[in-house]
Amino acid sequence: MSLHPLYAKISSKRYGETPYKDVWEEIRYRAETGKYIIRGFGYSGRLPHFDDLLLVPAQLAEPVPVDTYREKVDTTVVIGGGMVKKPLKLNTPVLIAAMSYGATSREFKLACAKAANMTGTSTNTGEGGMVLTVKDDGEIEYTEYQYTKPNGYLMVQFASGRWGVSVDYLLNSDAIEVKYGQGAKPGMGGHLLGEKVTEDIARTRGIPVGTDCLSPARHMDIRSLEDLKNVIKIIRDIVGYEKPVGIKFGPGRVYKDVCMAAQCDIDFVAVDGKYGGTGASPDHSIQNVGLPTIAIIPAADRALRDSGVRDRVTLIALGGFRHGGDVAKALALGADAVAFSSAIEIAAGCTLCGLCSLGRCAVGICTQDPNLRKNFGGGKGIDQGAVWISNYINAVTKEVAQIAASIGHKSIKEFNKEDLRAITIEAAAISGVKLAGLEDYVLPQWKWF
Amino acid sequence: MQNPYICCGKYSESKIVVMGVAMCKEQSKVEVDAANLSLRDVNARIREAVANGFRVHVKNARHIHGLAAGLRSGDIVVEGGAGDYLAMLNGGARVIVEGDVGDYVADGSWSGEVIVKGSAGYGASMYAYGGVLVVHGDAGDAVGQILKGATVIVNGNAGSSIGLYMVGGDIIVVGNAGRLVGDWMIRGCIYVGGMYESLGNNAKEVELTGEDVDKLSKLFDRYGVKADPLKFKKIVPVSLRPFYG
Repeated sequence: MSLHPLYAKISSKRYGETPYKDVWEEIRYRAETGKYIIRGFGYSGRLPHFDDLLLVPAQLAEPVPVDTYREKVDTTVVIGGGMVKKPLKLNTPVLIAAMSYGATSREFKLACAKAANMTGTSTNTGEGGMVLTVKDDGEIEYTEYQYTKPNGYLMVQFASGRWGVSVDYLLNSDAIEVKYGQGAKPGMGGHLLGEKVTEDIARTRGIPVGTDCLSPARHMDIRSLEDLKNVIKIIRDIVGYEKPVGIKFGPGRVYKDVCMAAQCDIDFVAVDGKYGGTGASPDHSIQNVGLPTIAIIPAADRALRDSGVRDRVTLIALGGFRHGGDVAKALALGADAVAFSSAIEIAAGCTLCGLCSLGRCAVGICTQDPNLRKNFGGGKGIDQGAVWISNYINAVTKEVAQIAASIGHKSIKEFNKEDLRAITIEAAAISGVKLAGLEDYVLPQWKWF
Repeated sequence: MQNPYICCGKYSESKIVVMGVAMCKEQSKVEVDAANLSLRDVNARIREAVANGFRVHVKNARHIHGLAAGLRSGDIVVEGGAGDYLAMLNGGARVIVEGDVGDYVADGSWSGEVIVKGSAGYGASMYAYGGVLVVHGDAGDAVGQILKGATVIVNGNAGSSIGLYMVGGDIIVVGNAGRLVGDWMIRGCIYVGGMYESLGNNAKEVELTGEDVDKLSKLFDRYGVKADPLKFKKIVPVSLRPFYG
């Protein structure tokens, strides 16, 4: 029987509109290899995000706009103020987020540290230990920490793999972050493929060269809230009660998680949303597990308020930050500071090639290949990378200050949810922000935050 | 309240002051009664005594979690038992416990020795990069999980899931071990003198080598373990890349 001339066209058209069209290659990859997909970067697609929120400018009604050209807007943030002997006093609400040494190169990590010094902000080791230098006499220098001085800060992570975590690691830091999860793969721990575990990475993490490095889904030695309280007490004790200690969560049951964290005598809590980046994560987790950043910030803020610790616990938001507008919106949603990761990599030269997990990054960021690392900073190295990153942070900070001024705020601490309006129903519903054009909530339960 | 410091031994005129209490170098030993002290108070006293060259005897410390954590040197004797996280992140101290310890003893240690004359709870020597933990009694589940290079000796029996995710070091159980020995282990060795219930994923039993016997003999001699190294079973990883390879 011969086919009608239109049959093939109709059939092809229908096929083209099925949900399988965009995943044909992925299905074939799984079929031919029997493996799931591991990749770098973060969520690909459209989620309710900061673009679904807009800021409300000041006009005649109070407060009136601040003139940014002659009136200063305070952009400082203090983490651990009043609680510890040495709080972090940051010039900007923009922090550099945790990106591990191993996932990223020595040059990139040191450029971040140097940029933290240049801008007066904080960078973060991530979970792979600190960039060190072993001198000829065997003495160890805590290079990453030293690069942040005198104006910057280094936060060190205490994650479920404990790679490189020692007494000296904690002492050569300015703050300690107990990592429970991250936006790209909450509930999955951490992964570093053996291809990236070179001699230097192996020495830093204390494992053999070429070993796949797994941080398990849970802290093996923290099985209850009481255990977590004890571990935080012990960390505080080891660092002499001098440094802020906090907890980082992925985008899960944020309200409950933060309420529990609030019982642990912490100085800060960080929540990482679904657009958070990664060096290597399973694609099925990146694309499907976790909640949008604009949904988790208000939940964390409310958890801290309900727990009675909002005045002393700093809320740091992560996950998909690109510019000063995103930062201002996050602060209005309830955050005190934000941390950038993917955008910092782009500032340092990332071209979004997608080879992060394989260690073949051509611009020397997500690689341990000595030849590729020479390309970092456009071939000019750490100093150029630091200039790009610090320029970017400075520009974003100015943007935040200008937006704050246009809303009528003399300090970024004055941002609040009335500064925002949502332009989609979804964004209004999940973030507790009023819809644009309305002075009340569409549904009373949306006011929960 | 009783003074938490009790000087022992012969008094000398060459005094120093530790946490406001006069001590004498010749005594070389400071006693800390932890009965009414917090973690902060006890560890501050231990650190200051160690910094001044004293050996430290601690008693009534069962309620303290994190006792002697983060020390880089020193000789500590704990009379009775201790709570959880004893000698966490040990960087070189020698800690002897006369009784039992709670969970997570020698957690994340890098150096030094922890000797427990009684038994240990869950998760002995997790994450430990270096140093030695000897438990002369029994140990609970999860001994040496994510062990990275330390040596753990359990002179009695151990529970299940010992050596989970370990990437280096040695776990030696003189008695019996439970289920899932060496589950998802990547590197390192587990030696069991008695029986074990089952092996975990990526773990296999292999023949002992002469080097193994020599290593075990030396450790047993050093730590007073009475066992025949030739009777031990050796467990190692099947694949060096069990997750993504």
